[in-house]
Amino acid sequence: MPGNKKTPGGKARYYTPPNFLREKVGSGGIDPKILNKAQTFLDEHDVEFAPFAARFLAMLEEAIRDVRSGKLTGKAALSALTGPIMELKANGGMFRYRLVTEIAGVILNFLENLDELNEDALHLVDAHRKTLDVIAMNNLKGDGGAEGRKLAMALYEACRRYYAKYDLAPKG
Amino acid sequence: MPYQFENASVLIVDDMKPMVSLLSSLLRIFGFRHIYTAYDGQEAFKQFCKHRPDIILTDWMMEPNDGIALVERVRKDSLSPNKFVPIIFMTGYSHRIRVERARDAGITEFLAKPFNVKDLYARIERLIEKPRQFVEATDFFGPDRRRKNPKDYDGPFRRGEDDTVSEDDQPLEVDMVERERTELMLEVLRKEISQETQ
Repeated sequence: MPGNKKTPGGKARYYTPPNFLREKVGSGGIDPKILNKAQTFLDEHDVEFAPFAARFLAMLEEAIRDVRSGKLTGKAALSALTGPIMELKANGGMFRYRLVTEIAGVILNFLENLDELNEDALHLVDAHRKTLDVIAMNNLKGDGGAEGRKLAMALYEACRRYYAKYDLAPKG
Repeated sequence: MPYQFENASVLIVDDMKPMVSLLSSLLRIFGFRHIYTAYDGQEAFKQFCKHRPDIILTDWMMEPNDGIALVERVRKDSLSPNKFVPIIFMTGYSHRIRVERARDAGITEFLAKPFNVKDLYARIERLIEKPRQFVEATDFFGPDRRRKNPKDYDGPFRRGEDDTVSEDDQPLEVDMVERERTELMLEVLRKEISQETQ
């Protein structure tokens, strides 16, 4: 292996791989105009997001149903809920649905701080799901302005009340 | 002279076809001309073996093989043609535990979705300007999980020294917008909980 070096303790080896990328692309960075052009492309890129959102929301609805029925429990239940929410958070903002990302981000963060689920938590997740459904199905692009912010804050407040009720502190 | 991205190749892996298309377009604007694509980890590994790209840009959640499985295979599989290939790992997850999970699999850079063009470019630039050393240990093979210079290693106290992080010794980063937003929310939350319980 290139640049192989064994540490004094004998438990780990360090390698310095050749920087092939540097050799191929050279140095000098990128023209800021190119970055601006790419950002403009990203900002104006139009994709019909609703069918993707519908698929993730259907997965989420099914997961909520399975958790409520006891078909899914523990880590598997949390994982089934966080998966589609994460996809909504990740992809909404990439395709100009910033409010979808904001709201999905709130409930994702909430779930990532839980070790177990109860009916109150599921109720919260379902409230977020219904909100996301309205936003996506009505093609509400952007951040939703002041009303969108209020909506996100209201849902965030609901999560906060849950933490207070169950005496939980977010783990970060 | 600016970077000659046309001389390098990249493999994009994501199960969202519009995302693959979007990333391809952005990288073409950057100047890349050799762009390969795959829609899951299994197909990606085949493409990786066939084309030996200089960079892998992969999503996490995919079926049947996800991004973590791909990273582990690239780093450890005997068929892997380049175990040192830089991997930028994209995901909507940004919780600390998730970032650590990805880091422990052997990723090079973490890119939280959604991201902007500067976030994407910053990760690519870091692969070129600040390449990570690799570590091979009993339970890990991959980029050094801290940008630490092993020349400083001086015996059995390394673990203790790890707690000190200098400017050039940063742990793997989540992008700033994401981190600031999360930290702000957590800070507000902690304060409000604290007030309510007083």
